[in-house]
Amino acid sequence: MSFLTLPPELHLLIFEYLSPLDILKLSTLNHTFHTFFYPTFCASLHHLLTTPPTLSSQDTINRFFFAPPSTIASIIARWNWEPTLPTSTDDIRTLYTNYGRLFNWLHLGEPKHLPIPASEWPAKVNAENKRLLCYLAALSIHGEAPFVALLNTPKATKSLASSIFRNRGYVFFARIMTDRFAFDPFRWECRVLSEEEREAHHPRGTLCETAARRAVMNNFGHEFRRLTGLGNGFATVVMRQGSYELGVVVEGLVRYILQYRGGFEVVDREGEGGEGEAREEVVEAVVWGIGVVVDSWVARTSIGEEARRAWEEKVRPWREGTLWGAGMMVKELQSLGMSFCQGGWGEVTPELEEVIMRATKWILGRLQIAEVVVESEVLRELEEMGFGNGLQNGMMVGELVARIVVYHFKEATGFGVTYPDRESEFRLKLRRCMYKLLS
Amino acid sequence: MATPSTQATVKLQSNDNVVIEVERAIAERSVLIKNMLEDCGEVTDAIPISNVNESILRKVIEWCEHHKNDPVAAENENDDSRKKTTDIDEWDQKFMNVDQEMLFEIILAANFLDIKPLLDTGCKTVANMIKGKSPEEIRKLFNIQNDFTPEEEEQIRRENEWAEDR
Repeated sequence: MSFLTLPPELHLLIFEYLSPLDILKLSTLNHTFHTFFYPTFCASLHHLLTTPPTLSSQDTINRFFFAPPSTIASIIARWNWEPTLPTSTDDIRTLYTNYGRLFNWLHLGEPKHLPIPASEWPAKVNAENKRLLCYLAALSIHGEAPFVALLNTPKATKSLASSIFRNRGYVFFARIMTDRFAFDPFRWECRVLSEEEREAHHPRGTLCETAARRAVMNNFGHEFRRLTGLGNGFATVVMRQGSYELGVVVEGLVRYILQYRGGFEVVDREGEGGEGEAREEVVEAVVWGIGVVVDSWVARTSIGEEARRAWEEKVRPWREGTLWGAGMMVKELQSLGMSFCQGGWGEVTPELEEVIMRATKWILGRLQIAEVVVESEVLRELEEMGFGNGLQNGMMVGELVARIVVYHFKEATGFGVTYPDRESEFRLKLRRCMYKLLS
Repeated sequence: MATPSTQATVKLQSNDNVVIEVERAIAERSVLIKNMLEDCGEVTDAIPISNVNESILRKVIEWCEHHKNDPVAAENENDDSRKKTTDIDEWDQKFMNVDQEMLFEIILAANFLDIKPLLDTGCKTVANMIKGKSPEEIRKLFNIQNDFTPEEEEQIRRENEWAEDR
């Protein structure tokens, strides 16, 4: 009698006292063990993921998200949730499908569709990021993470994420620092690094990166939350290159989901140095619960012909559109029962109603894209419009959108709108409306 | 349904034809034997325990004697608490401190005789032997031949990197 010759039912009994990772270890002993126990490991992991999580299971769950996509696909394929489950290990669509199923254990339900066919996903997006994007896409589809920040990911990843989330109407473009661009969060300026700077990029990059992260978190997260009153229930995801960062993100996601879905309290906010900071940012972001998709696309708008075209094609039409969008905002504000402020919005006359309806149609179409571009040129123009204060301090996108919309509304309707810096309740309602519009 | 028996002892016959007489209360730690006695009433003949040899049977009886006063788990008690911990009390640890051959035989016997607490103790013992060990240590422990090629081993290592302690 040996361990291997024990009957299968006794193996299962023994495995009840082992973690899936222990069982996985057993499956690596030799071919026979692999044949016998790898399916057991898959089943064990499945059990873990489909039963209410415990603190002790978190380690395994968190680690599982570090597994290569092919591994995850093959593991999930063995869960046998349905006979037709695809088993292709390198098919991102399969992964997506499987991730959708994985989300069942989080009680998020089944994703309804894949925003972009997997076949059209950029080849440059690396596997880890694909995996996380699937994750994010699933969250997005369920409306769980309407805003996502992607920092220092490969460009293709951000583009893909942007595409996915844009289709959901959730995309905000802002700037980030990449290895080609330097970002100054205090001036909201992004410029191309010179060759020399690129050579000596690392220390500068580190500084910039930290600053960018702070800016995103502080200005987009805390400030947005402060202004909007939006709190728990929305996730901020900071996606950065490297497995550690990925782990932080995943941990943040898991924590968020557990916290939100399972009543968990986020307690792990401690750490040391950069790691702690990164961890805390994510965890805190999860708690604060707001974020943005950050793409470096706008950085290109400040250089060359390509940039000029991009500006013409993407920025200007949107800004012009906000003229009409303002009307739509009014409509939305009204439909939400908002009474306009004294000296501000005035009454909506039949004439204005007509404008509003036209604007609504237009802006609804635009909001399917929902590109909000924060770009230095925009900022300069806004400063000229008299919105200079605060911009220097890194104004958040939502704030900016609101200001643009309000400004254009004022221009279009003649209603005097004093941007309500002192009218916090109004600001709150406005941001809530904006959120509703975008979600 | 047979009438309840007042029989004080029962005879158990191992598969190597050794008959061992034990107190009925001790024998009834085995749900299999308990049911059999309840169904058959007075049993004067030795009950054949066909899957268990003498040494293992004596070992199992030793365990039952030690635990004869333990509360009997309810029939439908499949509680998670039983499975939450791999802690084993000191006496059981010493009891299970046997060679692997005997350990697995005890587990098999406990399974056959339907002695859940003993089965749990055996399984926990094996689980504890595995926990915290590297694959190589487990191979050594269970005398398992590694038949992976270096390439296969490297592939497995890569695939399972995510599960490794960092």
